[in-house]
Amino acid sequence: MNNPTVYFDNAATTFPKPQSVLSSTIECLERYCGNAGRGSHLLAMRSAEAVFDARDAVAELFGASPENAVFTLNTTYALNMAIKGIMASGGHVLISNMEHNSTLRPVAKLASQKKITYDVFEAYSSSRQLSSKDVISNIVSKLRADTKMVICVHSSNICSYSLPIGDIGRFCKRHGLIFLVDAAQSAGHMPINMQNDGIDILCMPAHKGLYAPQGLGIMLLGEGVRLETLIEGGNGVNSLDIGMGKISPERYEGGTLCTPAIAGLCAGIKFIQSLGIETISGHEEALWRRMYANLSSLSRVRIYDEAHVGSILLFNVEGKDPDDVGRYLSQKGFCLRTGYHCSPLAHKALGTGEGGALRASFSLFNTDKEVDMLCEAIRGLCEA
Amino acid sequence: MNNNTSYRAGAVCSAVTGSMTTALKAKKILAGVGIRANAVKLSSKNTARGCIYGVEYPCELSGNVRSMLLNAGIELS
Repeated sequence: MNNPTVYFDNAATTFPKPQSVLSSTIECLERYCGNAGRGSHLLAMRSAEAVFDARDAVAELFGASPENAVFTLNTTYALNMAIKGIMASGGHVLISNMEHNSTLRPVAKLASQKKITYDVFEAYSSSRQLSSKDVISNIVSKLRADTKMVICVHSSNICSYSLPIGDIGRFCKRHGLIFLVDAAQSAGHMPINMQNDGIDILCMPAHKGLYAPQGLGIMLLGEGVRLETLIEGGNGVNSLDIGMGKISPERYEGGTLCTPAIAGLCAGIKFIQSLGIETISGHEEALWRRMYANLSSLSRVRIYDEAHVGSILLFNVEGKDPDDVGRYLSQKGFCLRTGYHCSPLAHKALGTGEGGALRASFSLFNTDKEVDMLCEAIRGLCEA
Repeated sequence: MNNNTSYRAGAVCSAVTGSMTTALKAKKILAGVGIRANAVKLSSKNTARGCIYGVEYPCELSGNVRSMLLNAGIELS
């Protein structure tokens, strides 16, 4: 292949990573990667300090406390912990019609086991713009006496639509509902403050908008929020006890942490803070507008959710299977994700139809030139 | 926690915070007010529950340290 690789799958994982993230990750592996929280020797302590620094950084970025910053394997794991931990005693849960399978599947599994019940509320409509008030009304219409929790993805993983989490959070606070937010696509792209936005539990990946290596997710708990544990095992604390203890975050962290990725996360957060989230989102929005302007001139291209500008643009080429288009673009060096993106609810809400669609997702490292090259390739396909 | 009011110069006291995370948070809080403390794994023989962490700090600051950590929401045992 002579084509250069141009990466537009940043909603799956950002690539490339900032140099500072690579350096911090490698420095950890080369110089001090003991097992954090396991013992008192020099390298265990040095690792523990790196882990604490990352907890502190992520907590500060999202308005939480470091002891409430729980490290997990990924966002899906964090969401499973939150959903199964909160709903362990049963009840009713509401999820939006834009949820990823990382929320839908654990909720559906619990429901199939008759442990909980759930309903889906409309947070997005392809036929009309929903206001924040409309979304709240849709939640109210599905509330039940035993509703315990509301779960929302903050930003969709297939388009640039974002739910009004601040308004939903304040509604949940007024009604004594636990509010769980999936920030898989918004963390690092949009400002989020758990206290201001009324969020009880915030789940996110480290490897997307926070630019860390893969293998790490984060579950941030609000003050006083307590869950049943999903897994049990060694956590380095009170080893003679048979239970996981009460102290967060160790209560939720059975097994060894991914310290190299955590060191990378700390560097990723510093990288974001040095630029400012607004700068990053501004760059991504400019790329979105450029691609939109380019593709809009092609009659065979259909763009979904045109009203919302952000880091994700979803489209199809008329008469072409999205997987075939993705394969064609891949042969030309472009990395885009095709299909249903693990989000059947959202694809249904957007009305993409059989085969799903193609998703271009931007990061800070994408350029105008790359967008122009991609659009030129799509134009070539349309005209072939 | 050693609450004696007089100590020999250079004596080191410890406060049990429980986990490594709370020990490191305590260390950061104390550093913020100029108190040099170390997060440490305390001897397991002092607890019936196994591995436990805490902070070590100059004994002459015991009273201040304890109140500062409690005010910051760190539970001491």
